[in-house]
Amino acid sequence: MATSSVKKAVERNSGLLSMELRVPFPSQQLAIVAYGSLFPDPEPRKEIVKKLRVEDKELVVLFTAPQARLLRVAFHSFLDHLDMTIQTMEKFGPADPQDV
Amino acid sequence: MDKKQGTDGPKPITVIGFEGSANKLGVGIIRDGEVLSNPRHTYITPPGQGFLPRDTAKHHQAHILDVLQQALDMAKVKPQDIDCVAYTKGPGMGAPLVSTAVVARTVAQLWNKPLLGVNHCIGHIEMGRRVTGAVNPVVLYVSGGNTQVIAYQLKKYRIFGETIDIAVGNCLDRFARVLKISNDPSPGYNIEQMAKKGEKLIDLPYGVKGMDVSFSGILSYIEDAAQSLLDSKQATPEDLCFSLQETVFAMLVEITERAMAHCGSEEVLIVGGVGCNERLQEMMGIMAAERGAKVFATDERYCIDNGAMIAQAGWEMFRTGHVTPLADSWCTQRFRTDEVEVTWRDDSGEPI
Repeated sequence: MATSSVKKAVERNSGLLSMELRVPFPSQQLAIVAYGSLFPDPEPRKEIVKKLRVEDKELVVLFTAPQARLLRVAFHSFLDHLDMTIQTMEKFGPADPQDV
Repeated sequence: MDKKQGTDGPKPITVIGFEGSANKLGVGIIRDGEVLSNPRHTYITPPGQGFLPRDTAKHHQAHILDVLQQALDMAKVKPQDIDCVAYTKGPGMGAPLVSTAVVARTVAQLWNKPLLGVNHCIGHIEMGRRVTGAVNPVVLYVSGGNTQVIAYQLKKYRIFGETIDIAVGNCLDRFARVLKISNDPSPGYNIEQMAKKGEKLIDLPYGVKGMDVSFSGILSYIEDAAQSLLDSKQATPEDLCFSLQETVFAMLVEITERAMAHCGSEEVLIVGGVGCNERLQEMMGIMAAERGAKVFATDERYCIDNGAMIAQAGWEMFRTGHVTPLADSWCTQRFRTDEVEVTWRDDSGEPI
């Protein structure tokens, strides 16, 4: 692979790629529900690390991976599950989102 | 017909179950053994194609909220009436399992109900026992993803025999692709209809290995031989379907009989999608009658993956004290049937 020397340089610098996503919710309770739905499943690939936390009314997700294509894959599938969680809240959550 | 299981007195327990481990997406609601609703939506691929995890997950994501709404509407049940949210923890395909679990976890939290991760195989077993009334059968669990012979012993559903490679349903499904047989409603159903018109029994490799079975060999043989047999007019597609069924079903009957002899059992319960097959039921019936035993099977509502079976297993687990904390609710592609503590049956197999 032509990029093996670049790869080694990245690894030596612990240059893992990282990406942080912030998702605002109408209430902290709903952010906590989203956390509850999305944290339990580990990433299928061990090189990808996903860390979730709640900050005030936001769900914060940090992804780290050694390669961009791994980040993309993990992020893509996370967004699908996040979308499901939000759609479920919209359809089956309380009428007043403050009410959870 | 639906007998209450010792629930005179305590309040009825209502469980909703979510199933999405393969290409069937189902949500079902059970109240004390009665099925209140069981809608299902199946991801069907064009002839010649199987279903892949990513596309299957997309299908489930696209339909799950509608199927959930249907389940509530048909059962005339409101979220506050539900006591427990059950879902398939595994085994199965990763992405589809997680897509389904995420919704189950969300509603469990929104509705403030306990969550219960269920073993898919045990869902089949418990629904089979409920619907048929079989007391303590040897269970043949046969589907696209699983092939096991199971019997209850001392708090576990123990695996007496199983496939050492692919499931019998997987063998049939992949053979259907070779002949470009339609996947609507399922490849196995269409093979069954064609097999009824088959007349010639082609000699195929027979793969029983002690208590276990192997289907890879017969699949690669028939995949390789099919075209030349058809071209040389030695067999019709119907003959091939007939021959494949007769051979694989004979293998299943043999290992089931072996387990029955081991356990001294007088009952056989067939569950899983391949269990819908009437020829399999017939062949099993012949063997059982020779032993003075009886065969139990369900119709396609329950032998094919569905939500109510997860709810039923969830009902048994929940009423005997199981709950799954969120941190333990991760999905898993591998989940052995004998990993679950069967708290709802005593040492002699009677309900607790």
